[in-house]
Amino acid sequence: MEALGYVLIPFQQPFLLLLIAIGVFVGIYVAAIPGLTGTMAVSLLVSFTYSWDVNAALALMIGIFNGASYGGSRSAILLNIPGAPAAVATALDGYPLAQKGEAGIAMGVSTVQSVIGGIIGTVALAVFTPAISKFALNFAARDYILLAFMGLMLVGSLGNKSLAKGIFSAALGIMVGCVGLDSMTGAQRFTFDNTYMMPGINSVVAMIGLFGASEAIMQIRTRDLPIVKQNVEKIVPTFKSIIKHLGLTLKSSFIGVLIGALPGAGGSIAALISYDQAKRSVKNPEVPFGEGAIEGLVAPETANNAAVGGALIPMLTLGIPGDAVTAVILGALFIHGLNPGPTMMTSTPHLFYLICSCLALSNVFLLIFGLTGIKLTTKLVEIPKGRLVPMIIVLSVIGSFALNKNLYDIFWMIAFGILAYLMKQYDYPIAPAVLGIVLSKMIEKNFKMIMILGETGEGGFLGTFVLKLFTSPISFVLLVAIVFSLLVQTKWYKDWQQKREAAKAQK
Amino acid sequence: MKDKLRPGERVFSIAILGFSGWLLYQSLLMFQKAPSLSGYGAMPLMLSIIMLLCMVKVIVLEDRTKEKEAPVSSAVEAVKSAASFLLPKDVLVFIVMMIVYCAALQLGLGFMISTSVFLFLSMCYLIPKAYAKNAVFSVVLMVFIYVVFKMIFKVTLP
Repeated sequence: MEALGYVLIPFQQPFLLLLIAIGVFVGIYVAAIPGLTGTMAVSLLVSFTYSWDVNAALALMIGIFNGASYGGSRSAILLNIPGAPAAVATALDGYPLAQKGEAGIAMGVSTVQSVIGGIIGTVALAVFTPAISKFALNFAARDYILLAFMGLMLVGSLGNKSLAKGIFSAALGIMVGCVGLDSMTGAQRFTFDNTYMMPGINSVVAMIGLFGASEAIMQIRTRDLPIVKQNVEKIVPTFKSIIKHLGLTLKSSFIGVLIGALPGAGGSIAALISYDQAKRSVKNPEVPFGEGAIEGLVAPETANNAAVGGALIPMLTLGIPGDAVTAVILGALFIHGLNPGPTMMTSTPHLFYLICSCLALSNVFLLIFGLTGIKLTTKLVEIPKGRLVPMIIVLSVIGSFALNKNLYDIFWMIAFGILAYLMKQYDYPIAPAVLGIVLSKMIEKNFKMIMILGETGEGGFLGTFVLKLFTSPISFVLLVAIVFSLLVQTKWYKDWQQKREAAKAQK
Repeated sequence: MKDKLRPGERVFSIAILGFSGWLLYQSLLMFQKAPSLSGYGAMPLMLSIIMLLCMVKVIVLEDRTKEKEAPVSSAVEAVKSAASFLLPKDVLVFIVMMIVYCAALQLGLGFMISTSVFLFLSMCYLIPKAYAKNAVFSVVLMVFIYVVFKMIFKVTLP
């Protein structure tokens, strides 16, 4: 009964309902603008909502998160430019549909599938989180370190050309988190006796720079790309069509939840894997994949919204974000004085149920806003980037100042923006850096615990850490997962895989 | 097909390697003061070593295997080509505008004035000849920012 009371909080406070609705609306339209992502929107939002009541801030952020996971599909379908990374796979079949004048059908299908995926993701979040929370109480310091490394490794490797660049970016992020006074000894690190540097670099300021300012600068490079105008008519998919693709929907949702729940892997990877799976498993699509197959929309759109619920699971149970957006939300929860992790379910259970409730409601709003406002989208994606870019910079400036009312923070934001822009030019991924910044404190705390245990415990470092890696089942499974994720990145594995595929093709 | 080495990519990698080396030096200084694996210098030391190793791998194993751009005749030309790839004129001008805008805020010119001027000038630079539309857009945006952030969100503006 207590849980039900928490779930009903948004219904008792219409303001929260309104915030969820606003969040979904803003999320859809921000992500629909090519180049602007939900991560950027949420990171800007953290700085504006830090003084709010935590329920209100969460309602808005969850709304944006879910809305943005879907919103990118609109520009992917209309312009062949994925509005957000999670919509890359959607463009593959969505745009060919639009070219045939069926953009309405494409958007209708992607909306309904996103909602179904979102609901399944919410159910998974509600069902699995309490159990995983209890299980996570068994995690030792080394397990947290291993989980964090697994997350950093995944986000650094999947979808990137170079694992070394991904790991570099993650290490840089953790290093940024080390700047300032050491939490245990109070010793100065990289402060150069400057009092401004002593509290450290504000993680939200860094995130706004890395995602907001850098994306704005990137947009200048592509501002002259011609925009193809589309005529769209809204067509809601038939019930029959939804039932026809139910099997694929369920499979894609499963992939979405699973990939989303892996620390570091998010909706964009879930959508790509799910698209790839659909391509392999759907034998006779009405239209071939890549030429406007409905299945090519069903799979990624279901998966990327199912991944929203999935990504919140490790964040709430282990304090390790499932993807870049949850990394930012985790940062926001820290700012609000909360400590997501295994004890969150017992210390602040209302927040968990509130998050589930907000996510479920956001899917209802997603259905409403997704099936309307198509014309508004076409107008919005046509806003000249020359006007959009200065606007993002001003919002980034306001956001980075709002947290500490410190003008130096604005310079940090700009510096991180320029750094991320330069890194992007040479294919250095940015998401691992953000994940590193957010996880930095947790990693260092657990690292020190391991080292202190190693220095003082029985058997030394070998007995307290190395041997435990092999004797503790949790640690061993995580270690194997890390080794495996490293292995699949090696040249030998890739060569072997290529040979295997060539042999299959010959048969 | 081999990936192409982008203009200035190797110099960028070497610059980052140098930065990682500097971080390693600073971390070593910290580690010397508290020479223990649980000390405050241990984590930065470990991270800087990882960063350094990653950059060595990028330079030795990745950059070298990439297909090179057409050879340039002089160092000046190489710098020009890297600069035009990394910071084309528009990007460079916009970054300068951003820095000047932030400096104006720092100098106490006030948020409303600095932001209005920044919005109008940057829009006029990025979309030339649409002065009237840019001016209207800037004003509408300033009103929006004031109402939403100052009045509704109660955010302190710079």
